[in-house]
Amino acid sequence: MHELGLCDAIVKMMDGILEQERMEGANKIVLEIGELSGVEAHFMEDSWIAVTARTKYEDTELQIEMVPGIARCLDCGEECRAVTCNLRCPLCGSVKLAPISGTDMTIKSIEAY
Amino acid sequence: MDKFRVIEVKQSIFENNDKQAEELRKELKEQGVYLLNLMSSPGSGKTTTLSRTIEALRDEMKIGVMEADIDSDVDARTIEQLGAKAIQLHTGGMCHLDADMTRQGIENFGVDGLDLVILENVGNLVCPAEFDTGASKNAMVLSVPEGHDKPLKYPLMFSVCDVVLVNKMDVLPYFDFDMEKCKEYVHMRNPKATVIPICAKTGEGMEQWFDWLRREVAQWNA
Repeated sequence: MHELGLCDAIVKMMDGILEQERMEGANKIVLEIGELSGVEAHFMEDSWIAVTARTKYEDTELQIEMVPGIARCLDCGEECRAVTCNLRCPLCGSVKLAPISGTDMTIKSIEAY
Repeated sequence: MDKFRVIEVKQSIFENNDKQAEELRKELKEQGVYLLNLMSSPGSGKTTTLSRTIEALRDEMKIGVMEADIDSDVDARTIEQLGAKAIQLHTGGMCHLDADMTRQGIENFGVDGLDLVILENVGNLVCPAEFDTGASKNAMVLSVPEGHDKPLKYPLMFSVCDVVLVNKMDVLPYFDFDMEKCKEYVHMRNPKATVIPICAKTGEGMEQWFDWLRREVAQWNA
């Protein structure tokens, strides 16, 4: 349940970005969440409501876009979706997989006013 | 109506924490303070391991302990009685510590003159693995009753750990725990991890662990 802390971090980042851009507030924020980031989208949505309640972001809509978690096999180079391959290369069976995408969470954009 | 504007941000949320962690690590290096982030699931014997470690090393180095475990049964006073400086951190129910919380702890604690600070992270194998605390190295305690397949179930935790202490070796005969498999699974997630079988209660393997720590602290201050 670290989504609450992450929402808090996002609010602080938004404060900084809006100040820098000389904007007042935001109608919408778009987040990209990697499948391998360990962040649960529905917990983020609940936490967002709790963290922004009675703040200037109370009416800011949170939009989430998921980024697939892709892993590459270090033995044969095959790429697979990490959550469906059971941490084994579907081609050669190796367990030496390295994630190449979907481990991060980023603020993609903010619709500011 | 040009009052509305879409700002393309593309800024990582974790990056912020990673940056703060790197800064903290650098500062601690300059101060000669080795910070060990100790992680485990609840009930693995982390606190007993910690107590034995303090007893063994307290005459060689100045040790501090930052307790962040929400359900810790050892309070700061007990640790202080063992001869270490201690502080209880309040995570406010949070499941992990991040670099900023660690920094606040370090600043409140005052690490001047300490050689080794052990951060007892929240007993949880998921969240603490995801946030770099700024520690010099990461250690985890895995106990025999938890099973040798833990590295398969919590891959991230094992991939970030530099040393894995397999605790409660005294009960090994009563469990279907395969040490070779355990080592194999740990090395699958992190080929560089050191695995040390220990028993904090009987002292088995503890010397090897103390030596690992001694080497680490010496290298950090070299």
